[in-house]
Amino acid sequence: MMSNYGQVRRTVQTVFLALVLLGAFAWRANCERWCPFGGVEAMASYLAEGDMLCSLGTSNFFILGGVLGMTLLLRRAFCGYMCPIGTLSEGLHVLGRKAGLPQARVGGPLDRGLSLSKYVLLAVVLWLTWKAGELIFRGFDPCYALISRHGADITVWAYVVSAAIAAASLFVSLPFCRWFCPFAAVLNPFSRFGLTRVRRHADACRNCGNCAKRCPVAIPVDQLEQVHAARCLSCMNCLDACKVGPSRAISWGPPGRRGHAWSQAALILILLGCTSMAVSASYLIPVPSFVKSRGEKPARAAEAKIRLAEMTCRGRANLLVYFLERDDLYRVPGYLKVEAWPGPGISDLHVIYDPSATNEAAIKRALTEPYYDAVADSWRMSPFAIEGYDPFALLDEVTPADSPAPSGS
Amino acid sequence: MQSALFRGVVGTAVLLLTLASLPGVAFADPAAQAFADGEKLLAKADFEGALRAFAQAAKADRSKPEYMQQYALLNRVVGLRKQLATEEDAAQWENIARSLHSFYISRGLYEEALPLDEKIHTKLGSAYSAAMLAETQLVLDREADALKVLSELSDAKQNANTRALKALALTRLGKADEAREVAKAIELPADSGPATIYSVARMQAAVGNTDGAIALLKRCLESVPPSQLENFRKHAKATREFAQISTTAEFSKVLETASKVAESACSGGSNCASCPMRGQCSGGAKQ
Repeated sequence: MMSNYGQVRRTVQTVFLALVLLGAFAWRANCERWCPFGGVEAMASYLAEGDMLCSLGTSNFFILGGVLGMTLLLRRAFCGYMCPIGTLSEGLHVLGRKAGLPQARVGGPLDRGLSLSKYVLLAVVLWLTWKAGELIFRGFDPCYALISRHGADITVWAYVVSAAIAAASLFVSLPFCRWFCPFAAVLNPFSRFGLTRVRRHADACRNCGNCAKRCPVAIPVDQLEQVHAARCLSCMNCLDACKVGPSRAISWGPPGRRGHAWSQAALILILLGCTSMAVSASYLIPVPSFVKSRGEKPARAAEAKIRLAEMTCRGRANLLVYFLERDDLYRVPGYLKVEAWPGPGISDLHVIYDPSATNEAAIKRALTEPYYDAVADSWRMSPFAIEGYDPFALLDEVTPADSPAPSGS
Repeated sequence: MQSALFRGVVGTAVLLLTLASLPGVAFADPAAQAFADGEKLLAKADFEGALRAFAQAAKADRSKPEYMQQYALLNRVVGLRKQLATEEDAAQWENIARSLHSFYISRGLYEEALPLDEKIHTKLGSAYSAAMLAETQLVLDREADALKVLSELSDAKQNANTRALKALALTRLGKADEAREVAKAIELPADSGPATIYSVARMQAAVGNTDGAIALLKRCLESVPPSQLENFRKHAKATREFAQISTTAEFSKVLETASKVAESACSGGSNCASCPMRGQCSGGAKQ
């Protein structure tokens, strides 16, 4: 009996790819904030300094948590069902096969050797990213090239890498995902202890080897009783390929008796559940992506909630702090704490201040007025535009007497 | 009937094409026009007029941040000009004066900068203020005035920058031998800033030491923060002293020299990817 696991999986893959494409191109959203690997890259800087890198947000941590959760339950189902690179690579492989291109099945020692590349790549990427304090590899990243709609820092190498992956995918199954994907290297240790697994029931198995032949990551399923391999995508191709029929000769589910086999619907529900929880948590628990504070917290503090444009990234948030720390006429005295969510479009900014020393109007002026930098001997213009704040109206409203005590030009 | 219809269609098409070909006249962007007017008025040092024009541009088109930025900057400058006249705190006065000087020079308003620089020099009487004033005087072809200012500075206050400017003034006044004498006395400290190195490079070019000028220009560009490199390059291309070597391959090559120093503060670029501070902003904007 043939089943339709593959068809269901392709539908799920298509839906997730469509969501990514819609997010990037139709909604023009900051999709980078939903990349789980971003959470890995930003972890060191966030722990050390309280800031996310570039335009990443704390949502990257939530989605990373969701993906790790699903990996502990479903192994690398994220790669098999959700990752856009995996979907495209798999699609190209099917295309290559249908076009009659020669197909190479890489397994055994060569596969194991190549698999080590992703750990080396992960170490290099993380070390250099943490050292630089910037996502210095994103200009070479095919996934970033896609979700950033050819972002400003994309290099030609991103397309060279994309072309190489695409070309290799026509002849080999999932070459990038198996051998070079640094996020796969992150997931594998969790996947190794994944709850669910494919089980082959030797008493019913006819040893036809179809299950192993259909495995996209070259796991020798036909020689195993239980698949513990970290690289298992829970794709269920092996179940599809079984001539005896799923749950008779081969099944997928948590360890235990044969009757404990789970359906693919359970897998999809877990995927959606983990993803929804991660996304919901990032909205319900709005942890700032950028935090800086100055001075001692006073007994009473007030908070200015500001929405502004052009606070696009961590560097811009640093520039915002630079304007708040000015020492001229628009100086903002007293305690200040900045909590920001930098990103494209309109971003949220919370400034906590000492109301006995300053006020919200002074903070807004400090953020938007030009500043003369005596050290650099140059004027710096503020790029920030505050929503609902009209400097013309303010100039009419606020007289110099309302201004904080000047201490500079 | 058919012929009338044809003529009507052709006539309408011709009219539309004519109107479309006159965007600068018939459909001029009022905000852009106001902004351009503001720039022209500012070039004539009509600060109040330029401020009104920039305000008009910013109000007419809020989608262009540069309109609002220029308005905000000029509004600030206008305010500082008024404040300078009444400011009694010496440190505050100096800061305001320096910020205005910076604005005038960046805008090429040397006639505005001159009286300000004279006031600054009268108040401070330092090598820094003398050099600032002499630089402006040299731009305005007032070599004799520049020489006088620099000669009045006591030996104790002289430094490599003031001596270089003095040699420049002497060269322009046709006193080449005297200029060479002054040039011989210049000792450029190892920790000299780019402005001083640049002055000495110009002076070396003026006295005919082309190789020395090129070497110093290279050293200068290496010591300039990345965000200011372009300003130095532009200035070097337009400077009178480099005119005789500006067409040489050596000069073109030296202008390509890359900076070897980091920014002193967040450069405020459009994004981190093109930021010269890329990878160094993790410590905060002010470093």
